[in-house]
Amino acid sequence: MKRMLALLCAILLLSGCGVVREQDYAAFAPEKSKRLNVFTSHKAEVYEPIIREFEQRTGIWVDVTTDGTETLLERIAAGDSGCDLMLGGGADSLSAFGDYFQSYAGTEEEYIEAKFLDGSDRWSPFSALPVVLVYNPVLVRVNPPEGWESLLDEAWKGKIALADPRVSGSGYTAVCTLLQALGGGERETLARLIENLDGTLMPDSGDVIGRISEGKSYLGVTLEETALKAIAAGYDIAIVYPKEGTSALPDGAAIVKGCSHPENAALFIDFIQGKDVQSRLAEHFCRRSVRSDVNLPAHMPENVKLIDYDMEQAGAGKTALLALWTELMGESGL
Amino acid sequence: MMDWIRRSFRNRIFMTVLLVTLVPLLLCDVFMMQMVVRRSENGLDLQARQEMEGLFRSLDTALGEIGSPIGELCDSTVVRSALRRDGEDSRLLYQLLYQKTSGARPYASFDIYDTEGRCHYSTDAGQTDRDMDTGWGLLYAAGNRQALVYGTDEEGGLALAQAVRTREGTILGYVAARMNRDSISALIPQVLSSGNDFILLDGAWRMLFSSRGLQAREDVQALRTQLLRGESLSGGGQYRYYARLHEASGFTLLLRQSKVYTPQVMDSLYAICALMGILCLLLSLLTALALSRYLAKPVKDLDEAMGQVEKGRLDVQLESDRKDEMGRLTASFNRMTREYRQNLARSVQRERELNETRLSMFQAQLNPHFLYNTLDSMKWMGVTNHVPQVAAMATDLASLLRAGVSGEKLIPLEEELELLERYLDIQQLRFADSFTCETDIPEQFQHCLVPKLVLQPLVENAIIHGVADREDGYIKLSGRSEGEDLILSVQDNGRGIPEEIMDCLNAPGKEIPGGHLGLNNVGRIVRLYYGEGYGIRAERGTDGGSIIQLRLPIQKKEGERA
Repeated sequence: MKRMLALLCAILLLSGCGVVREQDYAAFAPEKSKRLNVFTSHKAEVYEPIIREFEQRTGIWVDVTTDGTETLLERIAAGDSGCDLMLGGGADSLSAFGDYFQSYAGTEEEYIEAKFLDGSDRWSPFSALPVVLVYNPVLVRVNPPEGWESLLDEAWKGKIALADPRVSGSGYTAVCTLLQALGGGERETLARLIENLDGTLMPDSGDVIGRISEGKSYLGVTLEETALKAIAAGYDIAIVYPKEGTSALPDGAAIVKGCSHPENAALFIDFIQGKDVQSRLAEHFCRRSVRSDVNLPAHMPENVKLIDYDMEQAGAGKTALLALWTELMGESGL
Repeated sequence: MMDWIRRSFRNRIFMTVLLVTLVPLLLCDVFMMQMVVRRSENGLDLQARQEMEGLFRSLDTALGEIGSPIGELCDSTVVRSALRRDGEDSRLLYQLLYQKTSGARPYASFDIYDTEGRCHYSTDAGQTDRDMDTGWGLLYAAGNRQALVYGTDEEGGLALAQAVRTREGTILGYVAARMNRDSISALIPQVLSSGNDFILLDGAWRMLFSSRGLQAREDVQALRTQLLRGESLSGGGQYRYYARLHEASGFTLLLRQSKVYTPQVMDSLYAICALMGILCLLLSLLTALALSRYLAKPVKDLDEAMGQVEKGRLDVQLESDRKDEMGRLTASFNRMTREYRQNLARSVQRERELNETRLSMFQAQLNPHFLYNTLDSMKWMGVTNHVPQVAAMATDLASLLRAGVSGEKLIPLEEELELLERYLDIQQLRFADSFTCETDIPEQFQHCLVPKLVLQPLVENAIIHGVADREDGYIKLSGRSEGEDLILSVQDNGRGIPEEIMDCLNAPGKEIPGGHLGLNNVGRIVRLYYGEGYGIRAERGTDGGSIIQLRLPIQKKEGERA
């Protein structure tokens, strides 16, 4: 019996010979020092060309993981995410998770406008995203909106598209910008805004454009990038830069503390802050450069009036402001 | 398991059949599968390697044919001076351009750019707006390297470029060549077999071109992730990948081959094998069961019958209508038991005959007529001499002797009792009336036939071993029926029979030690006449003494009914 089993095993082993051996692919994989793991919340159309150019210039292989900003930041916070660099996310989000990032002052920092820099260099600005008003030029032929005040004007009551600040990051930035630009009593201003919204709130800033171009709303608040892309895609909308001034919050990139490839991550930040990438931002990505030495294309006005947006206050007061918002929404019966 | 197999002949046959059917089948299964799979995979592997070689060569040739005129153009003074003096000598330059690129133009277009990336000269007249960014992509790379650079153009084709420099190294412009998707595709069909895909990757494994078009992008992304994680590209999936690096360009050629034996196919193959195995297992189980039963049943039956015979049951016969060895063996067994039975009957018969002969011989040893005449003379002498006891004794003895030598074997019970009376008369004289004997046999048994002189030894035993040395000896002879049998019992009030003799008496076939020939003989004679169920039994009386019982069938003379 035992002898027979042994024979059987031998035959099976013999017949297993001559297996097609798989090619050893390890030779094609990059060395450890030629790798970079990037988490990004940007769309592929933004990060892909940049990352490919980075790869070609440096020979570093970038492994990209995409998801929502908050999700990615929470993964980084949870530790052991394998992430070297977080690309994307507004300045407020990156600041909130500042403890998980390593300070880095890039080689290009002298060219970056100071107003976009993080005080302690925990993250590096990539592009600036001004908040703008948009309206439907077919429906609004005379007296187009001029600024934040228009959102409180009863003439527009029920015709305004705004992303819910409790859900959307850009919606929250829009409300903060409005409050800071107009000044005065926070509660009173908010109450007037909510009254004027008349119950219309978008779940996402992306829905603002669609609603206005369909004519369901006449004007709305969104980011300049979103509006410019929509115009390029053929949507019939017009942009208004508020006369009271607006905010231009930068988004950025940050190196994860204790990551495996900090040198490559630093190279990447230098690359995206470099003139080659920054000068392509406006033309290819509808974003504003954070550098002072980059000229804007014709369709982007040079001298947009900016308020001195208090990011600290916006970040610290978020919970209180949203509570107030919910309370006022309740009062107006919504 | 081994014990179970060894325990029975049938289990052995069963296991053997099972092994003999299953093992070759499984071996065949495994061999065939392995052979077919290996051969096919080796064939495919060879094919893929050849195709890869072909692809590599045609790509290498194409890139070489495109690359060399670019190099020559960059080194040409005509191009340098044209770029320096912006627009002049265009006729001469075009002449040079067409002449140098004549070999490569079927699949590539050539352009010459100035330092700003504006296209000044092109072999592709139809195409407008060919300007390129010198701060990005291909021209940036060309400006930063002294050699030919490889990349993509905006439409997803391949592009090669080199900077035109002065002898001091200042960049004057760029020469670039583009190879669109159709041209790349044109390289492939000659070598690629259907089902295989060709993918061209850049140095960081981003897809440049795929024979399947853009659908392959996600696959390439997944492959790249696998590569970065150090996982195998081909393992487990539907495809096998062959990769080869083109050193000059830094491109990687990837050949994707559909596996014939994907895990699913292998699974179904294994499933079929398993199914066949189960079918054969069932079949061999049935066969093994049937065969082992067919072979082992007669053996088992014989084994059991043999056990019966050992226990003494000689009438065992086995049924079998088989004509083979097993049938003959069964028949032999039947014959053997039958003959054994007959032999036994014959030897019993012989024993009986021997006994009778022995008896006749005993009887013949003394001439009965001489004894009889002597006793008659003694009787008359007793009468003449007035000794009546001698006369009576001689008369009784003569009667007993006559009965003993007469040819009758069975006599009616009344005659037997008459003879017993004679015997008792003699014994009364001998023992001077020290005992009494009472006879109580119902009238209906008087005519029953009994072997002659069977009661005399019983009474003699009661006298000699029971009451001989007593003053008040008492012997009772009684008879009763028990079903078809007649029970005659002789009871005495003597010393009783010793234990060991009692045991011997009650165990038929055992000789009683130390005499008692009479009782032995009675028992044997009765058994010889009537069979094993009959004979004598001894037991202890209630008030001492012993009871000897004689069991006989009730039998009467012909013409008389029981």
